[in-house]
Amino acid sequence: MTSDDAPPTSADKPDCLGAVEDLYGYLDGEIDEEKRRLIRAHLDECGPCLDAYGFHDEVKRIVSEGCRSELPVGLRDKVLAAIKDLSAPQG
Amino acid sequence: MADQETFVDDAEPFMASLFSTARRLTGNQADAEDLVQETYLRAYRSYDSFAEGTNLRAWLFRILTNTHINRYRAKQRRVDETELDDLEDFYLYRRLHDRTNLGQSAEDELLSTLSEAEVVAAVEALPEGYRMAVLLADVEGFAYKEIAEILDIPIGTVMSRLHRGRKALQKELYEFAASRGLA
Repeated sequence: MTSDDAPPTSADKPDCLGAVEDLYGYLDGEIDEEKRRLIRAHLDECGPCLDAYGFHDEVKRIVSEGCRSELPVGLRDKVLAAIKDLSAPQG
Repeated sequence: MADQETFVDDAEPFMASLFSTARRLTGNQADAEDLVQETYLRAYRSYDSFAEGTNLRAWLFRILTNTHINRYRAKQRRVDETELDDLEDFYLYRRLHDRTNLGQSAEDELLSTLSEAEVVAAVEALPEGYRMAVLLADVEGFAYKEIAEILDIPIGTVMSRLHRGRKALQKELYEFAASRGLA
């Protein structure tokens, strides 16, 4: 991503292309340390890629936060009681 | 081999995160509670087959997703893979770039205008296989390899489900933003 407004395209320079390909691998912590280092170096120099990474990291964050639910009151006790019933000696 | 006596102490700390996933998989509170309870009962019954020292959290999530799939298979929507394949990568991000000339802060601002309810609705609209992969990766933070074991699918399938699921999710989020004239 060399120009400020362009979305990632295959016409970008190889550094950007590589960074875009590995975006989720990086954000998910699924690439090795050497690749991480190269991407970090690229992001230090490339504002548009840094923006894209930041944006997708933020999407991950809002999904993660939005999808958490409180454990309903009483469910823990209900489940533990059901297990107790199962484990009680029969007859 | 794990001891049933210690099951409650071992497994109880994961109940809140199992419930969150159950809630997003079933789409409602009552079914989510039933699913969590059934998961714990099944896990308790087969706890002697759990290899101690391995990943208990992943084992419990595997039982949860299996239980859910078995219970709700009849209701399960068929995934229209072709439709999802047609979506381009980084859907939302590209749209924001195409439709606005705003900078990075405006993109982040747009994300911050999405309500929690909209984010949840977007996740719940995902076809189930994709929804599971996205929840396990983005909400629970499981590694691809763990997700492969939980869902009993190859790691390449995990990656493709995540890839497609995230595209579809971005499209949903974009539509919420667009419906308010924000994008």
